[in-house]
Amino acid sequence: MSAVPNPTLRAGGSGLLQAVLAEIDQVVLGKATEVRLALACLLAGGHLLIEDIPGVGKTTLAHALAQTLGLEFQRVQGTSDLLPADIIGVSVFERGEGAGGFRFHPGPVFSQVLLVDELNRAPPKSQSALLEAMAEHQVSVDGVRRELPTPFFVLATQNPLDLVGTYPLPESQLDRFMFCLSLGYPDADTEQRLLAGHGDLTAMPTARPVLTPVQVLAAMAEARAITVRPALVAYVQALLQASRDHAEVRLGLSPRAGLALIAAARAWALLAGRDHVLPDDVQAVFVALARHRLHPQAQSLQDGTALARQLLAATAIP
Amino acid sequence: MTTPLLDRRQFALCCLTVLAALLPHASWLPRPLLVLLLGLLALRWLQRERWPRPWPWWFRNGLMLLLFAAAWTSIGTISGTQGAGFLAAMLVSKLYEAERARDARSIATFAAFLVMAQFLFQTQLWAMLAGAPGVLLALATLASLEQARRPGPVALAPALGRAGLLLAAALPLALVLFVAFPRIASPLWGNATAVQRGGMGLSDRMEPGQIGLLAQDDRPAMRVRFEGEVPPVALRYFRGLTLWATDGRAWTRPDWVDTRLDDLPAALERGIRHEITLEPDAAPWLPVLERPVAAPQGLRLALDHSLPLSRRDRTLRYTVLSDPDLVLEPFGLAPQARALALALPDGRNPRTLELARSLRGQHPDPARFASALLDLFAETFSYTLEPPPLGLNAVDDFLFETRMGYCEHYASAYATLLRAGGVPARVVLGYHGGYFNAVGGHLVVRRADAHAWVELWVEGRGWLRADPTGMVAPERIEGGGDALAALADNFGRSGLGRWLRDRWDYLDLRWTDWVVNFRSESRSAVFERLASWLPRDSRGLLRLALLAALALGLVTAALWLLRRAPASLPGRALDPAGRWLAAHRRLLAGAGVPASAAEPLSSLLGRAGHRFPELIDDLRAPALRCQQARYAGSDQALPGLGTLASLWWRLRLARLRQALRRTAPG
Repeated sequence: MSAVPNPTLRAGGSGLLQAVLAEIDQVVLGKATEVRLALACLLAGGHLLIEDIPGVGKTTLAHALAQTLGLEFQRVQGTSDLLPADIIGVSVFERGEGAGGFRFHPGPVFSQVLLVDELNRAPPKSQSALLEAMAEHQVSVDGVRRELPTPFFVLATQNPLDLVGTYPLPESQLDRFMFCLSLGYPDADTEQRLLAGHGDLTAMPTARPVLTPVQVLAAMAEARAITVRPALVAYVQALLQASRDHAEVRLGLSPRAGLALIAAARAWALLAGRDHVLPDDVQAVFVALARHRLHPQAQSLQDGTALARQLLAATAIP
Repeated sequence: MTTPLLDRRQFALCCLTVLAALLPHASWLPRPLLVLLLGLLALRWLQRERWPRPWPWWFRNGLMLLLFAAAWTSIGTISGTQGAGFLAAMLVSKLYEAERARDARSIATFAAFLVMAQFLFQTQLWAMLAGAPGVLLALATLASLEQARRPGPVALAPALGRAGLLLAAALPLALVLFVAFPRIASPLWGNATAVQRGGMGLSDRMEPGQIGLLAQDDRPAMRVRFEGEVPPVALRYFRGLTLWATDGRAWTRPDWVDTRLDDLPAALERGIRHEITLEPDAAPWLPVLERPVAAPQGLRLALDHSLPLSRRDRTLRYTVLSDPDLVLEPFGLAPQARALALALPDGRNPRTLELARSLRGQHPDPARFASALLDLFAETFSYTLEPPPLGLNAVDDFLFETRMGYCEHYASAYATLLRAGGVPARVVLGYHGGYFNAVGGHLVVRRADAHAWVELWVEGRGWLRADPTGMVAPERIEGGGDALAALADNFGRSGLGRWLRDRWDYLDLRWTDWVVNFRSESRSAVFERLASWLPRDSRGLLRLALLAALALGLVTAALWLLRRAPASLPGRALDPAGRWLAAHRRLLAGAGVPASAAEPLSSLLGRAGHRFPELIDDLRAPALRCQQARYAGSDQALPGLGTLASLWWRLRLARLRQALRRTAPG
């Protein structure tokens, strides 16, 4: 396995990345846009929040993503008694033959793709431990700093309906997720294909690995190198400003959201096989990026998604 | 493509603008047409207010046909200045299709144009003031359209305020241009023409009942400033034209009388010098105080000492020297003139001829005969503004039947009697009287002062003035036209009314002096005065300095405005590729593929390709090149304006083809 970035990643319509998408689409049926956004999120170095009801394929998506990219996968179920140590790991005293003593048993956070199911059911202390790990890409246990593996991609889910006994994430923590997606029910055709194809409920559909982790890192580096010209920066800034000026938005987008927007648009451009970012890319990722960051005024009847769409429609491309 | 719908207030503002633009035309538009226009205006406003859906097209078009038919019947022409009546009709009809901001924009522009069109008819101060509301409201309409782009309701007061501000801001520039802008010496449309019967003063023809129409017309005809004393009323005859030919009813002027005289050099020192400022008037002659010795600069007196105008002259202010005692042609008439001054139509007015011949038999001396005839009128005749109608033998009817009339009846009858008795006579048309405005120190002669009198020729004494009207109604001669017009109304002849009228009249004269008659000579005079403190040889320098100051001011203003312009102004700080793309976007919008500014190029091109499949490659390639340059920083050559122009043509052609294909059978 070579550590040199593979020059063929983008060439020829980003052949390998297209193969990744095609492979995931075979497993997660009828969700091409969401899959593409999820992959872009990973390539941009962000984390993904999926807000949806149970049983629409969140876990399948996380699995398929990890498998096709050849990444290590772990999952944590958010429950009200989840402790930080359950995520990060714990030091246990071991009596051994020669070198006895405390030994660190890494938690599920030491993986490349981490699925946290029902994040909002975990108690705040555990939530913040995870989010800290996400932000700093390292954990400290017993005074020792431990680096997390790369790439590190967290995919958290929330059930937006069943809110009793949950701890909704505060805004500062929502901001750490680059995208917020909802998968939604599949359409009729897709659902029939899905029902016909899998007789066995317990069998997880499996995807073929297409990339190696090194290739994934190379793709991430390539995404960061994609050209962004002043005209595009002006457009992104105009969107941010519009979100702050909008009458129904209580809290506009932060500069951090703007940085994330540019990173995500770069990844989207990479997926489209381009070496520069167009306003099209910004528009493609904007709703997913902004919907959980835009907080409507109390009297507003619109949710973040509608507000984000309005901002897109009202902001001229300079 | 579609601009926003007008809301209630904006539409009401449009209606008000149209109303205000019609206002200055109310003075000349035929009354029935004016009423129809106002009615249609009110109807449209009510309809949109109550039932905000447009009427069906056939109903609207029917109404419009009706309107234009009415305009045609009452005006009768679309050419010339009266075509402005059609402009007014068009403006009102525009309201009937006005639903959107775009329509309001054209209404505002059109209304401003209509306001301006009134200066074809009237240039007085009040016309200027009457035009002001129209312009102000047109600007307010535009301002309200701008307002609607921002959130919040459209309010009238800020729109009006903004309009006032704009007008005030434009005023200094307008003044500078007024003074400094070169103008041609005569207006493009020549003299104002008579618009309405009796509406524009005297002509070169006299018929019974004609002057009577003017008797209640209180508008000034001219203003006279005398050097020295104002002559007494009895001498204030202002000569217009002499009329020679009669058909028994009307009096006209033969062309040969227009032969021009040389100035009389001998009399130049004596007489009354006066300056006349004429209102724009249809009369093809210039009135002067009896009897003019020398013509004003650039003009020539005619044989009969009148000042007929040729088509090209347009003198509104002139100075004349007159000598009331000047004797005209004392030693004999040219045979041709004598024949004409005695001619009477065959077979007309037999009773008059008979009466004259018998009286002449009693008075062989022509002067005696003339005064005997005058005495005739003193008997049972009376003076009235509304004389009974007269037949073909107008003089017979007047002398023996009705015995009521106005000055032209008396002049006509008197001249006919004189000629029948063998005394050469002619009718003189002009003004008499006028009142003195103490504020301005000038004499105001109104249209009501129009008058007709007679000149008879006596061997050795020349042409003598005789005014038969004075025998019947001495007050007409002593008090001027006022005495009779007083029958109509009393305002303006005493107390506050008079005080106000004098002041207004003075302002109006000043307006005429400074604004209407401001020509290139006055312009040079202004510059001369400005330059008078400079040494003579540095005038050129002054001109240069003025120009430089003007340029500097304009540049400063432009810079200041640019600096104040908001940073988000579209089109500002765009790179060349961005400008090209914006032009491309407008091009497509013009070709029926509208784009919102938030739409990315790919989606726009997709729609354009759907609409014009045959052009898609030509639309796409240059735009993508620009996009590359903009967002990828590539340095390939950008497409130029030529590409845009060729695309424009090809889009037009493609649309035409599509339209043809749609309408083609099969």
